[in-house]
Amino acid sequence: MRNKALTVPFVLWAMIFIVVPLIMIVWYGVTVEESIPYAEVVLEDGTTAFELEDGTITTQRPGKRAVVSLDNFKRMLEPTYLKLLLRSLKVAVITTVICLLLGYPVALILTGRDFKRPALWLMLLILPMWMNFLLRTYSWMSILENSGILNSWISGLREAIPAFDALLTRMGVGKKIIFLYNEKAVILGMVYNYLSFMIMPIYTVIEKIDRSLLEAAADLGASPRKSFLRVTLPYSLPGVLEGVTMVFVPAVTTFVISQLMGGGKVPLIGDIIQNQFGKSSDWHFGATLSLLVMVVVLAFMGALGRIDKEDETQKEVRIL
Amino acid sequence: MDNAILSIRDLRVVFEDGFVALGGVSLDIGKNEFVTLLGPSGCGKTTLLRCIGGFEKPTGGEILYKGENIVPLPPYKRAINTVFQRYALFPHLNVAQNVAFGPDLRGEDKKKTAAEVSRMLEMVGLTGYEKRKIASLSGGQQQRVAIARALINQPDVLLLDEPLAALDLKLRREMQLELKRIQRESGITFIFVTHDQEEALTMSDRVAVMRAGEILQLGTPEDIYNEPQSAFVADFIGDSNILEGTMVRDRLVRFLGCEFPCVDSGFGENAAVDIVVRPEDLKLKPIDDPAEGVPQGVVESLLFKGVHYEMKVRAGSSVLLVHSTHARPVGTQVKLTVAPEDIQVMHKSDCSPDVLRRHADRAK
Repeated sequence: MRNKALTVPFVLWAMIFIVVPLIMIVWYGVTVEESIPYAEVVLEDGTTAFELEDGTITTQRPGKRAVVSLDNFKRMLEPTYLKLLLRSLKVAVITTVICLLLGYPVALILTGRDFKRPALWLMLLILPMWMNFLLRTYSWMSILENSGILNSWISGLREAIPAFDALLTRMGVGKKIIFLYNEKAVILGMVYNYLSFMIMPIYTVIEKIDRSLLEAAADLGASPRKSFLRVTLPYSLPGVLEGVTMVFVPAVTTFVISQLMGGGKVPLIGDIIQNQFGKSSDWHFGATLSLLVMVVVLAFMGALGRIDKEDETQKEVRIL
Repeated sequence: MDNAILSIRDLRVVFEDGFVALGGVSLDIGKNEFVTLLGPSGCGKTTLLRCIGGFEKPTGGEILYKGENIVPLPPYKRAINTVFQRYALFPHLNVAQNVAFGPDLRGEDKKKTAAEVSRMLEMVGLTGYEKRKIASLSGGQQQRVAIARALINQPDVLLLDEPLAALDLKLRREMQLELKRIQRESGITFIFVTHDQEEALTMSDRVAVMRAGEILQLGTPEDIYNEPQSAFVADFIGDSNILEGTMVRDRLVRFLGCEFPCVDSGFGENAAVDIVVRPEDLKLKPIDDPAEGVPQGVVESLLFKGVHYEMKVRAGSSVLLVHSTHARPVGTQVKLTVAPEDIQVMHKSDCSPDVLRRHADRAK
């Protein structure tokens, strides 16, 4: 039974760091905090004491207690929070789609037969990810801010080329272009940070496709376009699903990017949750919202899992 | 060749690292012919096949298909289909979908295609396997699907890249006959690549023996076996004894210290030559046989091979391989005879050092 003994560290790890916190979140989620009711009484020796509902008397001022309540679930369903959730989903979906549209061709080009040194290029793509996440995001801010690099380049160009200036003026573009602190900036930040999570799994899957399958398709009369649609695309679907998951899930829960790139003007559900554990100090409502996001993510993964299964059960892949 | 469907003219392939995979190969292939490219690995046979299929770009030369140079055409524009070495079937499609891949691409009528698929599967003996997954098929069945998938496109030329290499011996024999039958019935030109000389001799109308990017000899299986033009071909096709000898004059050759009448001429007088004698052509006679002026030897080993006995006979410094249905015990003194037409005489330069080295190794 040596094999079973080897799983003990992991099981312990999972219990302490996954199962227990989950139970705590559920507990916090289904409870609210309320003050313990009491009556102030003056004891015979003149000191003040507190009488609880069950008649016990204590000199300590009673604190708060957690009681099971679905109040937070009602609150969660208020339009304010649902709107935030919907915005988060929208931003995450747009981010995922852009990452897919940018990432798939990159993966395809890198796996091309004539492409020299794909490993080097892949490393160059991933290299920025080795830098601190905040540093990367602040860099984007210094590029995009009103007196940032991009704006100074554009105004430099405007001074150098009058025609360009005239064109921008006619298009109604102001002297300073506002790039930051809107939804687009948040999406840009997310795409930049998550793109490599889309490229990597797709690259890995396409790279593993047996080249002789592509040769066989060509041999049977498939043009490069049809080869792609009939062989490469169906075989790369598992990688696409993995990439979509790896981008969508963090995108739907992020809060730092929206705070920095959105400047607080584009709050997402992640920001509100973070707020509950920070400024608002309402862990119970924060936990309830976390549960909501968890359900959404689970539903999403379940839907993806079904696509994956259909693929495995050899459902006919007919794109044409 | 006048009725050539495929003419390969001085085809050259030089890889990026300077390796010459094909050094100017020319070959005419006729309609409905079964041609085998035979040679050891690295001889260029697969490269030649890939050039015909369009998967390899030749550095020079032409491939004429019905008189038109097809070198610039991509594979999908060539009316040639391939059975790949490891079949390259599409694992996400079932048997019928795999076979229908070509017709579907051309957008042919579904009903017509389905009927064609059934016909093809019947031909390769896989009726009823339409809905099966590729992964659930045995190697031989996958092989048949690959053939059906290629043949349904009714190509004029079918390329087969060592298609039987992954099968076990019994299945390989069956598939050899099967392929030959399919080729006869379909009337398609087959170009078959293999390193298995027995396979080549069994199936082919003509065999091209290749080495180091060149065709050494092209001919019918009988020609190749009986009249090898070089020691390499003799050595590669079946077992043979390769001996050093001297051509005394026309129709008289000297080896193993004795003179033999032979049928070859035109080598000049006292020219150094290589002699090839097939093991089954060496006859062992008892030592008291009246034959005069023939080499004598001692049987060194005896192996029973089923149909025949394989013996090694030492004669002087040479060890000869002899196949015979008549066993001679080890240690027996024998006389060796060989009929004049069974002696193959070839120029010395044809014999590569590595062939001689291998023969030297065997003598030890």
